[in-house]
Amino acid sequence: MCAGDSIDLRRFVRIKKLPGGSRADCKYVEGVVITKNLQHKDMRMQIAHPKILLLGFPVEFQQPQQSSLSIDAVRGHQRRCRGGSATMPRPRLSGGSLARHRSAPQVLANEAEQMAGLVRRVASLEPDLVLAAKSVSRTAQDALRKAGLALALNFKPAVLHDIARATEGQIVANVGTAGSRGRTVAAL
Amino acid sequence: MPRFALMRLDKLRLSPRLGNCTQFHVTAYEVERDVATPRAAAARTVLGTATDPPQPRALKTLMHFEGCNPEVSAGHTPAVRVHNARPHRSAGLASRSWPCWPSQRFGTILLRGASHTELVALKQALQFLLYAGYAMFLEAALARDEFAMPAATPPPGTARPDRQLPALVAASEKDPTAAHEQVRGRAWATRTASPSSLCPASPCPLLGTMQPAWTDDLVDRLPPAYRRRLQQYQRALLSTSPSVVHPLPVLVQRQLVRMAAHALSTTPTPPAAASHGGGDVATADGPADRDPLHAELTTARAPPGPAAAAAAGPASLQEKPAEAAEAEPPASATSGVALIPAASHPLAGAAGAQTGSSTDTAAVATAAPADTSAGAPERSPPLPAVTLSAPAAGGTALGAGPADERPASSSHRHAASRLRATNDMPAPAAGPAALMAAMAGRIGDEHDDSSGILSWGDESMDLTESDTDHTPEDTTSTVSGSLRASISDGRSSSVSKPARHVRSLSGAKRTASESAGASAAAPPVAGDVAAHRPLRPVSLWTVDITPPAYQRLSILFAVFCPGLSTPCKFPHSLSIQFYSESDMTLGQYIEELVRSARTPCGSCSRYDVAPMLGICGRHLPLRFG
Repeated sequence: MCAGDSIDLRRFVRIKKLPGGSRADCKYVEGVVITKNLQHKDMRMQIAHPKILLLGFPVEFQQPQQSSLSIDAVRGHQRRCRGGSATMPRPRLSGGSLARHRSAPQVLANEAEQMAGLVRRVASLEPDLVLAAKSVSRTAQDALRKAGLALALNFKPAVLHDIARATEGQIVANVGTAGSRGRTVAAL
Repeated sequence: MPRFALMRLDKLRLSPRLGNCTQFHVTAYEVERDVATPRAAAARTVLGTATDPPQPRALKTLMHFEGCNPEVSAGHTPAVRVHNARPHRSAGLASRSWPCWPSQRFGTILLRGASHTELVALKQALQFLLYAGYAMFLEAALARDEFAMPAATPPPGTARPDRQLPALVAASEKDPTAAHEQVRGRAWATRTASPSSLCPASPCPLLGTMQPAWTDDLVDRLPPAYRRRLQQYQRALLSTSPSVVHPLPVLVQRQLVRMAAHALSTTPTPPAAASHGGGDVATADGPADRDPLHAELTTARAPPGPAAAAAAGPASLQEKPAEAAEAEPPASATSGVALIPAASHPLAGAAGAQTGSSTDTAAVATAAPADTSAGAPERSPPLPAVTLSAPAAGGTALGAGPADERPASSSHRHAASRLRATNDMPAPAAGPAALMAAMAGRIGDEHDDSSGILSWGDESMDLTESDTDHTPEDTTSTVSGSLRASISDGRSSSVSKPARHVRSLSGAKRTASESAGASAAAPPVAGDVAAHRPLRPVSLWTVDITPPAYQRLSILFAVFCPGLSTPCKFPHSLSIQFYSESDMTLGQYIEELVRSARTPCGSCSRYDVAPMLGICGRHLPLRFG
């Protein structure tokens, strides 16, 4: 218990029910136990003195705000992938905006680049374990696995806060912003 | 250079703090899948495998973050965790002998060895125990920090005898269950009265004890449906603190009373049963028949002293019937007198009731007991549960509406504090006027007390003839108190209500049967009376739902004189009742403050500048943590 904590202790004590077994198996764990599995079998199941990174944001490719992906470009990409068998009529596009549209390969390349940068950034913190509150794109997952980091996804916010409290970590709220906001929220 | 600067800035950017723990591992547990779990059943249904035999076992993968409290487990305090390493306030001296709550950040309890259903219940119980245990720890820590001494605690019953459950004593002789009931009543009182909130030795007006509005005794007499509903709240633990007591929610009380009253009114009334010792008149007239429950309640209520309607016929105004003579109190109250005082003056009524009215000599004084006793008159054979072996013969209050049922009952039922709170206004005003009116043979006294407890209505009274073999009846004040009070049949009194004129016929003695039944009796024609009139709830306000009954505040009270290292008055927990005599206006408070500024401290005999309520010293505010 710390100063400023809630007076209700029940927030800080989890009780997990595991039917079966024997009563002697009941135990108290100084820490958090949650029902969750790692994202990949290759990831390490046991880590002594792990460093835990808590990601509160979805690790997805984010389009730059200014440019939007053209339907035309996507369809063109799809057509090319399918060998030009597109039958749908080509939509009309206002010619003025075409200049800012990017082609699909360009988008994918951007995503790969962005994810790689993000993973690099994450890896630079040298965590052993990455817990993400939201989803993580496949590219990033693979990159993290190759970097030797264990990953678990889709934590409920409450659970993530519990872990943050228990491990005294900070939940990283967003990617780009510098500086930390508050005690448990930080930027990557 | 610019690049260098950028790099520096980049380095300066705060990197997020990573969490750490001693051990992380992912473990799969073999769990029994509970077939009965709706979730599991739904899952099987969705999957179309409802017919398949359920898999008895499954794997549940848990992710463990262990060793999150290294300073506890490893015994060292990391420098980083400054905010967590808050030393206890009184860590040096006092904390050694006291248990200290481990300063852990988080914990998890793994429950195994039972089915899912059992574990669910176990989890709930465990959570509550955690809550209660920690709350008690905090409370103990607070008391320790303030060097609070546990107050000398008398048995709860002795603190405020009038507030406790005197009633149960009554039935004891005849009824074997009486003793049991009494024990249970004690238990209830023990439960409700907080040990630390009492400080009986101190004359401090702030003190008060808790009076349960509903006792087990009463609960037993309730219809099953209501009983269940009430027991639901009795089972609920509203406070885990020994010094904080929550009575039933007011709305629940009110609702229960309403329901109970309704039940009473709808209950078929048994044929008027002649009271055993009852005069012929009683039977003849058809004693006001109440349903058994009600009758029982009323009888139970009658205080021992007063010969219940002692006056035998109209002629017997002044004469005491033999039975009445046996009873110490001059039950023969003169007609007019009887009503007023008790009604108007709660305290008098209380005194009379408690003393058994034996002490009362003045006509006015006697009135109080008489009134209360009058409740006895209409009485039907008590329920089996009722322990009245010898039912006080009900002189039947024929039509008699005990005009002032309420005051008398309230007087001995309710705590002194409440009386004090309520009586001020009504007593002086009503008393004389009522007396005069009574003399005139008619009383029109309209009376609302502030709390709405006392209600007078107009009621014409007939003479009651009552012959009583007076048995010392228990004053089951608390038991029937609220319920009975609530049930007054007549159309008469809602709280704020119409004055009821009591015209005492010649020789008519007005029996103030506090029993509600009598209360609202229609302008009685003798004989026909209210005989088969169903009881109807009259006033919900007659229930004990006034603020003093349920509002209270527990504080830790101590007195420190400046310059002294030890407190003049060691901290102890006080229970303050709202809206009692301890209330004062701000002006009064300041005036009191100034006036008693040079009052020497009671314990150290020094002078202090800030006395409060006559006690020197400053009040310690509640401090948490």
